[in-house]
Amino acid sequence: MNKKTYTLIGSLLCLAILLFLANTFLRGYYLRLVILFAITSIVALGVNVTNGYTNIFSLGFGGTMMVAGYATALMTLPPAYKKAVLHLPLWLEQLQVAFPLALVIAGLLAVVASIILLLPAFRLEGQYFILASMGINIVMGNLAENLRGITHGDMGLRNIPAYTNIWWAYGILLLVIYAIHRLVHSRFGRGLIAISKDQQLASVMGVPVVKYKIISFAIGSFITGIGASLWVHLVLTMNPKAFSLVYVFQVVAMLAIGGIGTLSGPLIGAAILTIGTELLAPVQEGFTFLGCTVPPIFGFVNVFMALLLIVIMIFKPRGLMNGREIGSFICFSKKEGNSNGNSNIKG
Amino acid sequence: MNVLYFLQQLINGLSYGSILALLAIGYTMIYGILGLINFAHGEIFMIGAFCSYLLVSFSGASFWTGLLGAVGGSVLIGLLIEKLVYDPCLKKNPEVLTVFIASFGASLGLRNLFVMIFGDGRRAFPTPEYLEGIIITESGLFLNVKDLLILAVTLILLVVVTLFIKYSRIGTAMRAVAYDPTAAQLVGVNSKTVVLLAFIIGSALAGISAVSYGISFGIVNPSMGYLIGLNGFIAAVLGGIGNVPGAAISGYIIGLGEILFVAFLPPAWSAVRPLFVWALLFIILFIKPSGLFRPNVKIQ
Amino acid sequence: MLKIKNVVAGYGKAEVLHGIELYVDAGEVVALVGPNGAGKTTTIRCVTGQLPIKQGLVTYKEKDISQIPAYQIVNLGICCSPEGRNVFGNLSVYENLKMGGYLIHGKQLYKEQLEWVYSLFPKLWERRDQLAESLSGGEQQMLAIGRAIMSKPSLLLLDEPSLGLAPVVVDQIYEKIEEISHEGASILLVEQNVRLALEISSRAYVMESGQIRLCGKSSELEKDSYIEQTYLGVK
Repeated sequence: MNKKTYTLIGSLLCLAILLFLANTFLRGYYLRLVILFAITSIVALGVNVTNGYTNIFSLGFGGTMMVAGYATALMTLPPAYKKAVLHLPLWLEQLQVAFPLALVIAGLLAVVASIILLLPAFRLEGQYFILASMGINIVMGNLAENLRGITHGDMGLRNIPAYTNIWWAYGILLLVIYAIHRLVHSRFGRGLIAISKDQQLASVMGVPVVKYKIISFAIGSFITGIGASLWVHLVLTMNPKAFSLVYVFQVVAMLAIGGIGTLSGPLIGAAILTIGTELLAPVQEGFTFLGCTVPPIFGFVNVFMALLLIVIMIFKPRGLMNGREIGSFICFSKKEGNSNGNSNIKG
Repeated sequence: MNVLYFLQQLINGLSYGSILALLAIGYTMIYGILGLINFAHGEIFMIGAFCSYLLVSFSGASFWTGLLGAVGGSVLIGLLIEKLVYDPCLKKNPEVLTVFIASFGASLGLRNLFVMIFGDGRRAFPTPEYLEGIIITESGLFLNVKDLLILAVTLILLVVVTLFIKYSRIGTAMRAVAYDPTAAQLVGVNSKTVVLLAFIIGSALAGISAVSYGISFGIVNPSMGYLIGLNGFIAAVLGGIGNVPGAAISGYIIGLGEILFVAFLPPAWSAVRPLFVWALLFIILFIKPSGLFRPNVKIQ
Repeated sequence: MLKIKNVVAGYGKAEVLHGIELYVDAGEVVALVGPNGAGKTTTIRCVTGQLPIKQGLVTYKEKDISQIPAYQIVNLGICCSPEGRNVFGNLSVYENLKMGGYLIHGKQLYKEQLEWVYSLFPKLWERRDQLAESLSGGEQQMLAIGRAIMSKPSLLLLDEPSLGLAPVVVDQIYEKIEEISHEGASILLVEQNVRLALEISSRAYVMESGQIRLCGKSSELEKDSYIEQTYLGVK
């Protein structure tokens, strides 16, 4: 057991203690915030696999997350509710699945959806593909509104069982981090990075480009699908406005701010967006400062975020982390004599 | 199938198509020359509408002054965005993702800025009395004066712009830069001039489109640019990147298509309206991945 | 007229030209030959202003042009037919030539130039309304040259005009290049086909790995043993 392993175990232990404290002492709103951060990070990390490591700029994950969200809801809602509110085939109506299974199935369904929806779009060039992937979101949103028998339209589904807690959220987050770490350092991962830098070159060097791209898509969809499922079991509702284009852009913004192609990037981006929104929310509500009352200015948060986004794109386009991992800032990695400090894409 | 009803919807479709056609040109010009999707174009449209609205409602200006104000406002904002967002971004980091995000940031920022100042509510667009008239033909067709005006103005503009692009020196230069900016430099074209001109023309047309929208739909609000902008962009893509006449024609196709689609759909299905555009896009891109007409950029 | 002194240039951190020197006098046809990757196109780019130089001086008619942006060099009378031809595929032949005359002031001059180009390249007149991308390689090369001479340049830069063309076509093009040089323009010709280059030029430079290895009168270089062995395939 070397120093690195000790540090890892130590950090995990600290995290476990922090989570326990949070779970015990934080109430409602703040506890939700902490869990939400984990879920947002999971989604960001998932999108990073496709958009970051493989450099396929797809915006369609909103639509696939919707599929996962509705699936997990339908799988876990009590049959009585389903019977009353929806028009489902009998087997689906009666279906009641345990949470872990629901998570996995939702993830898999997201994968299926992404392959069916996005594969035909693959033959389109760069910007056309982006447009088509945007369209997926709008189409799915519209379908969700209109297929009332399945989704209850824009009234949405409610009283979804509250399965998500802090342990599930962070447990899965750690799993995802670990999985991506292993992925990036595997042969497959190196293939993805090669594709992201120069697709033709990668192909010539023997990387099965199309196959890898599809797998990367699938992995990204799976992870975001699980994130969607966790989210649904946290907020306990699901409606067509969830995971809309606005949400998609927020996630993309997180990746842009934090930096794509790294593990820390999405985490930092998620943190900044979540915390930033929280900090600025009171400003939006209106407050009293030094005796002057500032009235509520709705929209301020978004303007601020937008400005931040533009400034970062101009001055630090690779994101705040500039393509490096958090680990490179910590001293111990240098003491070990590793050259971890400066590699561009690390996992 | 009522012929009268069909003709009525046809006029509606042409009017709506005019709004889209003008917007689409702005998208396709910028896209062709700079290679970027100007998400903020919808906001340029929106700000033009607001300029007109403010001038008429609060300064008592006439409708035509308001129109000029819309054009001026849109052009101003367009140039500002070019100078403050796109120019620095492209100079330092021309990667697709980066510029895309900056473009989106500009759109989001402007939209929410106006939400901050004016609130998200809808305001009534001041359409002058004389434009509210209706002409009733012998056959019983109801023609809105404003629809006819919109159609006439748009068609004239389209002809002017198309002729300009095709025959003028700098118009040809714009097409040349869209295809090969390096070679264009070598014959003496200053690409900066071309870019500014593209923004000016595109934004001006967006301003006119905005006023058309205002008198047609009667409302102004900060989010108005978002969805219609997206439709305008789809028209630009359908028309072939950088192809101005193509974008305009596609704008009409989408406008007509959407109106006729909804008109002949059973009422229960009307919520599916936004899907029409996307379905059209998917079908056309599937058959012809580069769009209906020949794009103006080098096909790799 | 054109003087390149001690120029060091490259892309990013890589240095491609390690201090080269060459000049072109009025009315001359000067050839720049050498193997692939020697830096010939890089040299052209330094003259057109497409590539900033790191060290040295590029002057034209005694004026320092190394800081002038690419789109302004046409004003100085320098025109280029780039490597790969780079015609505007989405424009017609006529429109390409129109772009060549982008900076011409005066309708009369513009018309005269256009007539001259068409008389030089009758094929272009035949295909004047066709889209440039539908032309054959040889026709595109003629178009690239025609576009470059529209503004009546005093210095014409030709980068690899024979690239990818059949010998018959190449000969036709070289005939035209000769005609152009008789009209008075100076020409700097970059060529991989050394035989052709030495035939048409009065002086030549041989560039290898970013340095001028040999220079002198073309008639003498043709008989030089090193040139014969390395480039002309004579054993």
